[in-house]
Amino acid sequence: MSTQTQQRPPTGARPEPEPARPRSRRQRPRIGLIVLGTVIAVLFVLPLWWAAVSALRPQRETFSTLSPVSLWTLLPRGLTVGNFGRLFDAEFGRALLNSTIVTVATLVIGLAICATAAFALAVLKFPGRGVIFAVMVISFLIPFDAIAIPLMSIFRDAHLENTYLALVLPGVGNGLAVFLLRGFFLGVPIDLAEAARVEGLGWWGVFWRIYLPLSRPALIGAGLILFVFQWQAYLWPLLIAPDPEMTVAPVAIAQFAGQQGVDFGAIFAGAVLTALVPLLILLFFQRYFTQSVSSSGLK
Amino acid sequence: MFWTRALALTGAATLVLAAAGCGDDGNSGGESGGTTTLTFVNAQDPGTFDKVIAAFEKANPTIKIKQQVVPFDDLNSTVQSRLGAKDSDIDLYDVDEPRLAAFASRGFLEPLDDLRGQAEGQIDPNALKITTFDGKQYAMPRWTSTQLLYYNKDLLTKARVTAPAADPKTSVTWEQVTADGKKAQEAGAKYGLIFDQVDRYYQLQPLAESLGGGPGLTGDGLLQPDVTNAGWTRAFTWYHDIFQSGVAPRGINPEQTPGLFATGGTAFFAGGPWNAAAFDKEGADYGVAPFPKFAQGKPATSTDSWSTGISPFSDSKDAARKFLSYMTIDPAGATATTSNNIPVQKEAFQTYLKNLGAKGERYQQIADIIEYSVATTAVSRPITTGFVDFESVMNKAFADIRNGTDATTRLTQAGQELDRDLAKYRNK
Amino acid sequence: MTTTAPSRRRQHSRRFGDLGVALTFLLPAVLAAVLLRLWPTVRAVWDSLRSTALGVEPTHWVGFDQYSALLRDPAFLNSLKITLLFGIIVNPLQIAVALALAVLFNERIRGAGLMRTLVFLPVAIPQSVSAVIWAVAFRPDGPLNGFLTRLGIAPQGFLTSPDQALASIIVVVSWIGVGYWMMFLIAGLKEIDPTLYEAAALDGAGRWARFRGVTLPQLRRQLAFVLVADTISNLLVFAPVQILTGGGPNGRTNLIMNDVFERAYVRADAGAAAAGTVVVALIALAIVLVQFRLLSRGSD
Repeated sequence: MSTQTQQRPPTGARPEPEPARPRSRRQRPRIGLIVLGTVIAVLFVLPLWWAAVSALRPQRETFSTLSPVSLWTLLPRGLTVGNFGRLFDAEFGRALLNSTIVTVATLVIGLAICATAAFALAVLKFPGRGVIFAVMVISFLIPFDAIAIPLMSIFRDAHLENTYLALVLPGVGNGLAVFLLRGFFLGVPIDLAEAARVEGLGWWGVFWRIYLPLSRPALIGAGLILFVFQWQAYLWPLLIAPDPEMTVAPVAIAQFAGQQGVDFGAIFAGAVLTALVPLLILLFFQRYFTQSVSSSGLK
Repeated sequence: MFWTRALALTGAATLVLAAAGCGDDGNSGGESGGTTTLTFVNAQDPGTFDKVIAAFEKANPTIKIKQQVVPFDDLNSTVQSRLGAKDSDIDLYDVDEPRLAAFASRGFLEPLDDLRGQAEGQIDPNALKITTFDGKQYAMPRWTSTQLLYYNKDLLTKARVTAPAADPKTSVTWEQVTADGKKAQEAGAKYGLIFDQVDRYYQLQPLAESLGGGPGLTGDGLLQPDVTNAGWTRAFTWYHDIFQSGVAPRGINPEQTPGLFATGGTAFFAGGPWNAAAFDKEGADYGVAPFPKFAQGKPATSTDSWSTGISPFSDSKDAARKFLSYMTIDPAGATATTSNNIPVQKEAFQTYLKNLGAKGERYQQIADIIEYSVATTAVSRPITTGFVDFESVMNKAFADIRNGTDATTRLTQAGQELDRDLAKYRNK
Repeated sequence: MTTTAPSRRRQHSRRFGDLGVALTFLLPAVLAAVLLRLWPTVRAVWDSLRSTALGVEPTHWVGFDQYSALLRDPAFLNSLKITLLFGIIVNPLQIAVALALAVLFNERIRGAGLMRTLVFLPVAIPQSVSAVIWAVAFRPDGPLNGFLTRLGIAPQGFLTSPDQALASIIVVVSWIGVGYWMMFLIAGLKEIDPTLYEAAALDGAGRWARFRGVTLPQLRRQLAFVLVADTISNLLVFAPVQILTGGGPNGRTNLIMNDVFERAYVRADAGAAAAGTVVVALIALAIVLVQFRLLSRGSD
């Protein structure tokens, strides 16, 4: 990945935050910041690096290089893809695909549902708005894992077990995402909507043409919420979709921790692949993170 | 541009979802087109049941067995939750033997007294006994288990310590193992002794039993705690001390203990016969001996394993019985189900020992230790409705004692917790 | 309300406002919230009032017995205490670190995008794997102690020490959480109008003054969101505890959701678990109400 400035489309360029300062005074702290940022990023990623390296080395080395700590703790001596081989013998590809299908479906459906609801709660005026907002807030205060058992009974009564629908549904109506989007929509000047209404635009038009294009940062935030909920889902898939064809990635990885031994190599290999998908998505949307609102036309 | 990408993503997702929707074959139903599909929920390693299922399906072309393999740690909780919701998807499931009473008393197991009749004389009576609750057979035992002591030959030689004998009848004492482990550490070993399943009742119950402390439960229905008697206190004071003195390491999860022995550096390892395969793979040079006892105590070893039961909510109980009977009572079926476990079906057990012994001298020693300990020194876990609460309270107490809490104090506290937690079963 | 052109229509439906449109916008989300969250919760409340502890006998009305039993159980009371202590430390810590990192990675420095992606990554791997990684890191012979030994510091107990276990759990939870919350704050920073900084700089404001005078007030909405969401998610955290310490040593890491989870899934005590769930939800509600009040007062 190259630098942010190069990735940014020309229209997105914005003035430097500190244009008044002379160049020489600005250079030194920049280098300090780069070093600081690098150190922090390395610290955060170090445990993952170790897992990734352990995915690529013979299992014996994983623990024999632990102590005493040396360079070999973090670098592989011998490389092997055997761990990935065992992973795919257990049809991990299917599990990763399932997780991806469920998460992407949740993202798309969830964003649509949550954004429309948030728009209504932020912009429209109608009786009972406070009550509905309260319902949405309460819905994210309830620990999902704790209500999974009664929810499972409901889903089984509806014969939804072992379906993608059953895996997707609990993730789509996310109160926290609604809460986030509503907060953002409240910050959009109401005059914009009023003016558009005067010109005869319907509420759908206001939502679609004015609010959504202005809300990229909030939509990405809401997307993160929806994404993490499903990507981490473990207990619910175990309960509602236990068929081997429906296994999701976290469950498939856990299956390598058997009762008579744990295949750490395969577990780490699975973790690497599981982290890869969101990594690609993040890089895919990278430029939208770095784009400021000023360049998106609000101000 | 953002919207183009977002739309592309949406389109892709819709396509994938639509394609995936077609893939759902709706196989939840029990019988269709004259073929019965049985769902068998278990937590065994992949491939464990491949042989027995293939053989059974060949002999019974109208019955298909589908497995749902759940991660080991989640089996009890998910099966419990699903049966609580009367999930008719489950036909057969694996029952951890000490939990049988809890499952049976909640109505989660179909009585199998007819199968018991067939099993008499075929299956080890002890195994049938522990799968019986309130006078009824609730599951069919498949395997049993035992424990032994592994030692690292190199490390003991370096420390000039005499290796414990492989003779099944002479157990070395825990006191000796501790002292020898210390010597080995002085001679360069990282750790003296490691338990395979640190903090788990399964492996630690024999410590108290060796000193006459009993299983920790007493009274009507085994619902009164008895974990503060002399045997328990002495056994767990010793347990506390081996960690306190550094002979055994704190803070290693049970999943990571075999690795410590396999890669060398640990003198003694108390574990099951299944650990041998992993040690061989790592090329460790080790010897085996029977599970130790305390100097003033008697030998005692962990036992029991998995059994399989039938869900009362199953739509295909007859077919399930057929498969269960084949898997556990039929000699050929039980042999095919053995995998690397110890079968309780008598013929399969003999075949297992013969095959094990044929793998070399060390495995012959393991086979001898297994045969002797299963028959003579095994102590089952208590059969009681309160076992799950008991086990969860005790495992926590063991962890705290390992981490340095005084054994007497912690066992007293565990006794109080148990008194409270088990009350609801007593009042029934 | 200002009187504009379509005011006649608005007056006509004044009482119901935009009810019709609102319903179509809201229906899917409200249905999802009610059917997938509130309804099972109502069932849990019902269970907590009716079920027997053992779940063997036919259920019958037990009123608030489950609650009073729970509130007399020292283990549950301890979990409340531990959760409070955990919350007091972990929430300000995570928010402060997330904010600092957001500001840092919002600077126009080389590779900032890659850096923040790396910091975010821990939330993308399954929690069971995170737990395995940290179980290894905290081992007595693990890399953390190895590093300390190199610095000449004696090995620490970490998860096995009653005094360090909760702190160790906070490290694990924050390793996962900080990058996640940082993302929301970065999104907020991107919204700040750069001319505000220019104006402040012209007034001679230094880095810190600009942070206090521009960044913090402009980031209010995102900070408020992160405060509420982070507090709730930390109240509901349990997977790392369940896998790494099981609540020990001596109950020092027994967070409330770990306690409730154990009652529900390990001991299959549906009644007590339902009562525990209700208690957790009520605590969450109280926290949110207090936060909303404080935030709205702060904005006046």
